Amino acid sequence: MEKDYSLEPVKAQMLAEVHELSECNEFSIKYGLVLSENQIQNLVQKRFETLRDTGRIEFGAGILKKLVYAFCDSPYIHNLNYEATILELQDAFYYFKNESDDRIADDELIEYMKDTFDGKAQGSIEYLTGTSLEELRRDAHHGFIDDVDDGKEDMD
Amino acid sequence: MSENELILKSAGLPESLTEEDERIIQTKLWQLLARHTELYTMGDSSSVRIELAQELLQSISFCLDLFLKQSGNTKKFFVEADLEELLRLGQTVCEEKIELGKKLYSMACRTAPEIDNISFRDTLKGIGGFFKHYDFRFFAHQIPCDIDYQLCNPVKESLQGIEYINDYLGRIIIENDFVRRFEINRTESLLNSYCSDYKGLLINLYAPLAANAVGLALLGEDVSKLNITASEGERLAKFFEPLSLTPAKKALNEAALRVCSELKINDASSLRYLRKTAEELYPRIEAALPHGKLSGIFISFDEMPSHT
Repeated sequence: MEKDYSLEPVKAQMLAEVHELSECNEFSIKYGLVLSENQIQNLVQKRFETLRDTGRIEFGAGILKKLVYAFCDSPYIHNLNYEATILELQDAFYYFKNESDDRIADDELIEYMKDTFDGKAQGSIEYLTGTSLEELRRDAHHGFIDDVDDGKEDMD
Repeated sequence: MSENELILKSAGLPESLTEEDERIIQTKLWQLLARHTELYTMGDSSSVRIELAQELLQSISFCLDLFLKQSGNTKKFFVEADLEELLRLGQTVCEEKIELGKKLYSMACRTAPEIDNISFRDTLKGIGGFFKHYDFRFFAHQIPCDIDYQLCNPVKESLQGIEYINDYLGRIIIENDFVRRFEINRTESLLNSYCSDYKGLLINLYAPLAANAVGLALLGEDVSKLNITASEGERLAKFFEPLSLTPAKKALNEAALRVCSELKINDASSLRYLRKTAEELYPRIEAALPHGKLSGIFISFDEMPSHT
């Protein structure tokens, strides 16, 4: 029988993440957002696919929980687009981690994404990824990470 | 193949462990890598590129191997042990090796022959930078400097990080010591005859000197004169012509011993180094003999200096 020991940590990570996302429902229900068990399984599965596609590896629970906590109070997310939006945000998150050469911390990137999503982008993921995150990527490459804060001021 | 598989494959677990041992060690390595990555990103990022994770894992493996070599344990020891503690101990061994490396580097610089060779000088200078840029906590297996200068007997490719540098420096010191035992004008005459642009090209300074010294020892001549005249070259060709591999290697080995005796080289490592160099002349001699000339191996000075 072929050995597959190295998949053990992935399985453990998946289980932990499913558990964490289930707990998120207790928080997000305040905003009318709840993920079904199938949706949670799908999100977790897609997380590993996205990581593979972006050539990244993640330890621990991952970014989904943080995305849910950050975005669940957005006026542009409702139960019908909740899963799809989180999925797209997750894709965008890992893509821009790569594109910025990891110069932007997770929390900073999520904060920027959330402020732009609720502000200039008015709930449009296309706008968020096509314009604002591209600007952020350019700024990161030129060492202008502080401009993240400027962006927030613009939105205010 | 999952990303976990991609990086854990580089951990190089030996076949002798049982499957259960392997599973335990892989899980422990995974947990250690997770903590190590968190330290590296300072908690700013929950994910990293696979390439970075692979580098971090190689660094961990390098330090754990240092611990194993130092303690005499085998990888089986990892099954029961706290890998984080072993990593810390491995890093301590690494730090000790860095201190040794600094001393070796200082000696390599002090003993450098006064012969102009760009790659030699640049490489020595570059190794000085190694000690500034070497990050033993996260990239202990890396060699953050350019090493262009080719040794006569190269360092094993399997060595990494500070182990590679220390081995390289140890060999440079042996070569330096040998080169400095000859008069500089004779050395320069030989190098000039060997390669007219010996200052600019990537040539090893030790190899032509060692070959000629061994050749002269074979002829019973004074090894310090370094020059092997055309007629001496012919005598060497005649000497090797009837010899098969074993007696030829034996003769080269004995000649190396004689060189060391004449030059008063007593250090065992230097002796081994020259014997290896001498023995490795044989394939070149064997290839050149059918053409009746060994002038590409045992060099004659282009212009006969007055001191010969």
